[in-house]
Amino acid sequence: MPNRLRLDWLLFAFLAAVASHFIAPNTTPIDRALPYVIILLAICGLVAERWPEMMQIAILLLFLPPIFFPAEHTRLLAYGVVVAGALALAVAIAPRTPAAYVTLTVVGVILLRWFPLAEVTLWREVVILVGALFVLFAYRQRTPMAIVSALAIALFTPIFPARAMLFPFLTGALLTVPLLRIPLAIAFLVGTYFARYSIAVLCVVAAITLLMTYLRVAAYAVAVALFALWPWSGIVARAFPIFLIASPPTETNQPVWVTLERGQSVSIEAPKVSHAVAITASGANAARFRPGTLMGTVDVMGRTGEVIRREIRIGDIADFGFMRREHFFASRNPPPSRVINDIIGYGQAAWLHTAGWMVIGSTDEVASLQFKAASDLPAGAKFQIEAVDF
Amino acid sequence: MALALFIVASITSPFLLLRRRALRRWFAIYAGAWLIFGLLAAIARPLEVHVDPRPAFVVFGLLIVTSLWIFVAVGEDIRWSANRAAIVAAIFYAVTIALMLRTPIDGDEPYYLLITESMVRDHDLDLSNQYRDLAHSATGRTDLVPQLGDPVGPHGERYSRHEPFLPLLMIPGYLVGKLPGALATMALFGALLARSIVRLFEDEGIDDATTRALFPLIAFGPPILFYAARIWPEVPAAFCFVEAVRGVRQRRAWRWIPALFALVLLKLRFLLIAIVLLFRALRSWWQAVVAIAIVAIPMALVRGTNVHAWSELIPGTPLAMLRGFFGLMLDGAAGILFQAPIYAFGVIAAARWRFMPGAFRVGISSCILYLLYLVPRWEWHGGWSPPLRYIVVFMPLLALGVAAMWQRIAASALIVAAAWTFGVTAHGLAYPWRLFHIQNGENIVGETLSTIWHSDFSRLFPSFIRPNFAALVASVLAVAVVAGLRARLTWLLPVVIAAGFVFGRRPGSRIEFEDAHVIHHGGELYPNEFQVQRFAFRGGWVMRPGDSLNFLARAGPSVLQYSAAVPSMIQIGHDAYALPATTGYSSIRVNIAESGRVELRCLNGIVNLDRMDHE
Repeated sequence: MPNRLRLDWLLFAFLAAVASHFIAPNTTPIDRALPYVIILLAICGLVAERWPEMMQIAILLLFLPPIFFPAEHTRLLAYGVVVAGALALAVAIAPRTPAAYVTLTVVGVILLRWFPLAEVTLWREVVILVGALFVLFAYRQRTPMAIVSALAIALFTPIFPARAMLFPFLTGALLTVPLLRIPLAIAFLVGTYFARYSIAVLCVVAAITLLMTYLRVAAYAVAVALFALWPWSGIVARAFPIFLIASPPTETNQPVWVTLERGQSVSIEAPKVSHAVAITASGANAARFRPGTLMGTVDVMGRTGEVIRREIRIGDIADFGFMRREHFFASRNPPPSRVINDIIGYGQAAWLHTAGWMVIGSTDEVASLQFKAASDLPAGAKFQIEAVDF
Repeated sequence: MALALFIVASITSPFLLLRRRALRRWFAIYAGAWLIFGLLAAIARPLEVHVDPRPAFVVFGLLIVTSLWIFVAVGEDIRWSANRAAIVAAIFYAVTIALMLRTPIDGDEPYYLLITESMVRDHDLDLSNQYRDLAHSATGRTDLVPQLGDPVGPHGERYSRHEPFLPLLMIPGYLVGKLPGALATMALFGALLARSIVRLFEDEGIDDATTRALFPLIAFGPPILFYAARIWPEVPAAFCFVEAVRGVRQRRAWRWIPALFALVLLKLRFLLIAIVLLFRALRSWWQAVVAIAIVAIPMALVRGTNVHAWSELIPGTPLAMLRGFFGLMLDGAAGILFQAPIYAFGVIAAARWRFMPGAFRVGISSCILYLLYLVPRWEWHGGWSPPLRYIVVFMPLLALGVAAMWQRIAASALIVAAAWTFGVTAHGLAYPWRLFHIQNGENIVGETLSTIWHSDFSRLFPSFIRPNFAALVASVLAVAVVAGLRARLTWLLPVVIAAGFVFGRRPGSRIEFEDAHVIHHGGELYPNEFQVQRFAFRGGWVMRPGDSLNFLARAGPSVLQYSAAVPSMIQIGHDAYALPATTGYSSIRVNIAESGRVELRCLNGIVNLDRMDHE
């Protein structure tokens, strides 16, 4: 690589990173990380060697979201789209050498897992990085698909508990056996049916990785689209695809924030005439509960005395924080069937507040609600009524 | 409708341009692009990222078209000829028409169509009955009235000032499909122009690879795209001009004579181009006779409806010429650099005159007289029309200049110009009504940023409509670039963008009260948006008691320019100021206590606030 090209990239990266510091708002860790993101993409451009001007202009597109999109989610998604596009371009044009592919994979993993930097557990992330490189080399064919596979495995691998970090190495080992890819993928897909949600996610990812050679167009497209969510990569890793059907709470939602322990109950009077009520509820310290575990009941009292009782179980709701990366792998909760779109945190540490919501209709006019926690809840477990909407 | 047409266009056109492996690969990318788009749309919903679906689809569609042309430009397994280029252009112009029809036709467009209707229905040019019965007009405009200064016949006939040749050409299309049919006629001329451009490039020795790379930026970029899907004489005129230049270069009189004749019939102002070209073309006595006919016949034909005067042939002042010339090049709202940046290289090409192809020299030199009379006029920016209206006619020749120096243009500059072209095209297709912009010195980018940040970003863009400091800087830089100044764009851009963004959020030294950065609580724009020849007025914001404005301003004394028919009173911060009644505009000195947001309230009277200058 000519020294002039290196100098060009060095100066560009420096100027663009410094400039981005003045452009990006100071509101989220992703905004604050923009200079680092630019440097990482500049490294990609350097190793890609071809079309440096195209890469540099693509990187400069990162300046547009903070200027044109003050809304946080719009801005971060725009960062995501630009970074995904720039990285995809670099991967497409990079020379098929080990050095270039390792660099691109490392940059991809860093983007997916290392922001915000304050949330990084260094030794665990280094293990994941090594695992991703293992998958990269296990893939044998040096095509962009190898990078996609390595990044997919790195994205979905939990770092808690430590034994879960073996996942990339296991998948990498399976990839080295080309003739068995389809049977192994089928086995993983069958395993998905029986495994708990957190393990089923890994089974699906392993199966897709094994089958990726046969799904090229779809795999590239999904990879680019999902990479665009790197500012919330934790959501992709742990809340997909349920996140796609998550809904915002209604504007008339009334926060309640009542926590009930075993056998406790609470009544809420209906403030207005209504024939239906939407309840947002979750569990606390309930991540180990299996699907179907009874968390509590709600009695919808009518003005004429009619009572509608609804049991609320794990599956209707879930532990509010079971998608935190520290709890996810060990959790036995499935995501609620109807989930709100409350995203907390950024990057790999982002998680979906897994309160479930349900609507209970009544022919009678609703007078009040009585919530009661199940009498057999273990000590410490709680049934949380987060909000109601009459 | 537009989406369905686009899907059809995007599936059929690759078969015209690609084959074998390229075709298979492109369709794989096409499928992948739809998948990515669908997934991103699904992701945006739970993230509560609210995106207007129309611009989203337009940007996606343009990305698809761009990827197709990248395949064509790369040049493996392609099918390429002028005819194929024209057919593909026609297909995508049809999609553009569907997008443009979201809003009624505007500016001069309905008047051209009204003349067509009059010719078809009444076999005359008198529009008085058309104005009386607008409900049955295909224009979709029931608010039309004769334009200011339109000729009136001896018996009260209302004629349009516009030449009747374009309406005549639209008759077949109109008979087939009313307004869409008339627009299809324009698209047909657009496709013919696309073909002519490719043939011109071939004639002048431009290599195929360059033509294929440049063609989409010309045919599917502003301004040709916008005028090819709207009813203005500009695209047919450009086609005629290109054919005339080709005819002159090839010494084929039967090509240039009808082309020049049609050019002048389309719009009398093109006579200024035709005259120069005729002098270059004449080679025999009979051609001189034809030349006289080309000049005389159109003048005789439009004698009854002409609104031009011989006095217009007196050249404007040098200052007005400079302003108009640099405005056409650099103005943020109406200049080549911002509205069709790829042609800026054509302007630079003019500085390398001796090395340019013969057709470029013939064509551009023929436009000198036209430009000389255009630039000092008030409406050099085109008035109420899509940008660059008056120079569309010679854009293909500028494109030839771009093609001639294509290999010598820095890749980063080309990519930036292409990206900007993409943005302008997407914006125009998504929001066709924004192609028409009041000439107030702001442009879309400045206005958008000013609205978001409530700070004056428009001052960062050069304006020659309302001359500002940025215009001076841009002019000096433009001269330097033409003289040979070069800088690495990818090093410069981050610094310029960051500096602009930081500086733009600070209070400016001049507040124009009608601008987008001012938060208006009550009051109204002066003059109203649809005022004919609005550019001839001093703009402002009319306030009545209770109305208020909120804006960023710098601390210290400032001079406020206003007009008030009655004595009025305003309050700025804690200070009240009495504004005496004026005839025309007057000024008053005010004081801003500290830099930052300032509220200006109208306490009494009615006042038109023009601007406030920090001293």
